[in-house]
Amino acid sequence: MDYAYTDEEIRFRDEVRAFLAREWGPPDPVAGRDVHDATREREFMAKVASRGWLTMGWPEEYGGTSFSPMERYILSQEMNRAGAPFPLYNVNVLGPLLIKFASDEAKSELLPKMRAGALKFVLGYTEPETGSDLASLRTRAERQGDGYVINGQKLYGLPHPEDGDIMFLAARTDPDAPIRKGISIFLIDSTAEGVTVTQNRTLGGSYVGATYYDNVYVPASRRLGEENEGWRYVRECMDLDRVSGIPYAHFPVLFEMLVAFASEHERDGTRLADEPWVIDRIGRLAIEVEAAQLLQEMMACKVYAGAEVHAESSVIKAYCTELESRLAEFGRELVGELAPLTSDAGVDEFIGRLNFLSRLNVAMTIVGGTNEIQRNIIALQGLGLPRG
Amino acid sequence: MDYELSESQRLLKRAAADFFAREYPLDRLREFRHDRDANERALWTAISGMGWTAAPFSEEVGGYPGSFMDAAVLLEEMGRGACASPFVHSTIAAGLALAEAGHPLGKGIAAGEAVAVMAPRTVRSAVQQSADGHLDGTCLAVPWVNLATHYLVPIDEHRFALLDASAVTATRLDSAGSDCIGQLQIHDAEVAALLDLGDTGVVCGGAGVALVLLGTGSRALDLAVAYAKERIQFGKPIGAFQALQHKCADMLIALEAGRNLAYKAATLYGQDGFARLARYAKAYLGEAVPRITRDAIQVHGGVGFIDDHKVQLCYRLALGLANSYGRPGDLRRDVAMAQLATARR
Repeated sequence: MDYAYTDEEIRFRDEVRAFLAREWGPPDPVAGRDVHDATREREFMAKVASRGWLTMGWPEEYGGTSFSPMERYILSQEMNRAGAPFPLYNVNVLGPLLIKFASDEAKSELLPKMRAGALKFVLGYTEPETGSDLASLRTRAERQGDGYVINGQKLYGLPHPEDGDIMFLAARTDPDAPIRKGISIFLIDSTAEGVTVTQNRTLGGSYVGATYYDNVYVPASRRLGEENEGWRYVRECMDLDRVSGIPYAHFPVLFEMLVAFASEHERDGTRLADEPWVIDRIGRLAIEVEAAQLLQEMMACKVYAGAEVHAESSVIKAYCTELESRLAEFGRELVGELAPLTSDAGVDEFIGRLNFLSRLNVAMTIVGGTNEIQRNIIALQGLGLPRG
Repeated sequence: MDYELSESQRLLKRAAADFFAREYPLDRLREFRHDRDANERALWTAISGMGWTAAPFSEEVGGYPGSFMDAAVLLEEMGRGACASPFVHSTIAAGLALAEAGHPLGKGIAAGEAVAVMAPRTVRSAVQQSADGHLDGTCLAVPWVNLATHYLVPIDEHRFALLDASAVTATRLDSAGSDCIGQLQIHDAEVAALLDLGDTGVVCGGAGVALVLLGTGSRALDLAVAYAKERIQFGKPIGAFQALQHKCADMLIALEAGRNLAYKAATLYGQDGFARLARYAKAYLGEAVPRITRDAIQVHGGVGFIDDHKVQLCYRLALGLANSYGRPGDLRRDVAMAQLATARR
């Protein structure tokens, strides 16, 4: 048993850190998620693409680059730590999935854009009546000539769909089959005729989209894999996603910021860091931040070594998103009555970011499977408890 | 990075698990209460007879050669077996401290011939050294006074007086914890040696206790899950109710978080970061496992608190150890001070 990175892995991590310091800026995990500067992100992505980092692990004939699985893990962690944009889901999940199952037409059209970091996918799973119970989705796809006609509605495309994006849409192709047997996956242009996009502002300030499909025609070449086998591909996505999920590598940087704030500020003549309750919370959170890092590293190590994992990703999702909430809560107590102030209040940059985190984190325990669903998975798959 | 135990560690783990399952199943441990001293002595004789007391030591001290990770495997299995013994106190805490200081008693501990335990500095302990070097005072909550051959009594932060067991009056005290604890009455006792052991004993003991707690916490969860699968209420197993499912899931989440801290500490013995990770692991599991083992009793409902249902063995082991070698609150303070010192630089 060993928790240390190899020398080569450390060298690679340092290389990525140096690249990020040069091309993106100092690690600032909260700001990175708050402020979107499309031009800056596009330029940065081109540099990331030129290093072959967007095709890590893909087959060679599709431009794949040979990095070890652990290096892929390190790269995604470092991007997350820096608050830099990185299309991790494209690299780890959708790229390999398209290569395996998409038609030749779809592959030749979409993969070059993915390699260049110029294509965004929006997951179209959730519907007004379909959340955690994904298989109950109602959006219909009916055969018509060489393609399909789609009718229905999807919610919470994250991030919101923009022109040029591709909807990764799950729709029912056989309404008479058992619910998991009649689903197919389609890759639909967000600008296709009949698609309407509306936006909902979120607590975190960003937008999620609702998309409406009114007799939208999609050619069969944009169906992923076999008809009615969509559930299999959804499951395959989850399998490919076991490690990438949402990386939580930003905790150490965020925690350092909190400790620095406590060291540098005083109230009524007492330095925050000298308050007994602050000391206890710093101790508690330092330990939890370390535990969160180790949970992720060990899981990556196991998955890449081909070991069987059961509910580890659910353990990590629940633990890390709730730890982020505890970090934000500690931050709010440190800044006290100033906690509700947003960045736009213009009082203090750090307080504004903390406020953003407090709003954003509310979504994190919900998206990607609510933490209650994660606990169900842990109970059923991890502990073998009976289904209710 | 490597998530697997070595081949020899896997064998050791299997041997320990088999030993506790075969020789000391929980139902037998419950019977210990009828004749504690004799049962505990027999268990300890068996443990040292298998050579496990050499597990953490290098070859020159009498190890085969072992490592902290080898001992970690045993510590976790002892916890899983809910089996209390002087292992973590003598072999790990006092043994490694003495071995690191180059004291010959380390060899005796590794060989299983000597049992040395450190007296904690409790709120009710008071010891004074007189001008002639002799020791007077009282120590409380001293582990394994029924089996100890030597005591290490703290004089100040780093120095310990080594006393022969024959130099003190030791009395076992009634305890709800599984580990034997007692009182030392020290009157004009001759000090065999005054040793500067630093904080090695406390750090190693903390890492060791964290592993025992990890083991007993996961055993408690296993017992809770097994019971939740078989106990039928309202026409279905109680484990099918989400209220209990989520409680069990929370127990697993906390154990997995603590597991990595404890394992990483064990892999770092002798390297930078050992003391830090030992503190993290002990602080985390010292707080989490009493709660987890208590929750395991909660899952059992009414039968859980009938004296001595087997699930209580895990709770009792955790009760006895959770504050040994660093109270979680003290450890969190130390962790925070280290963080703040780094921030100031």
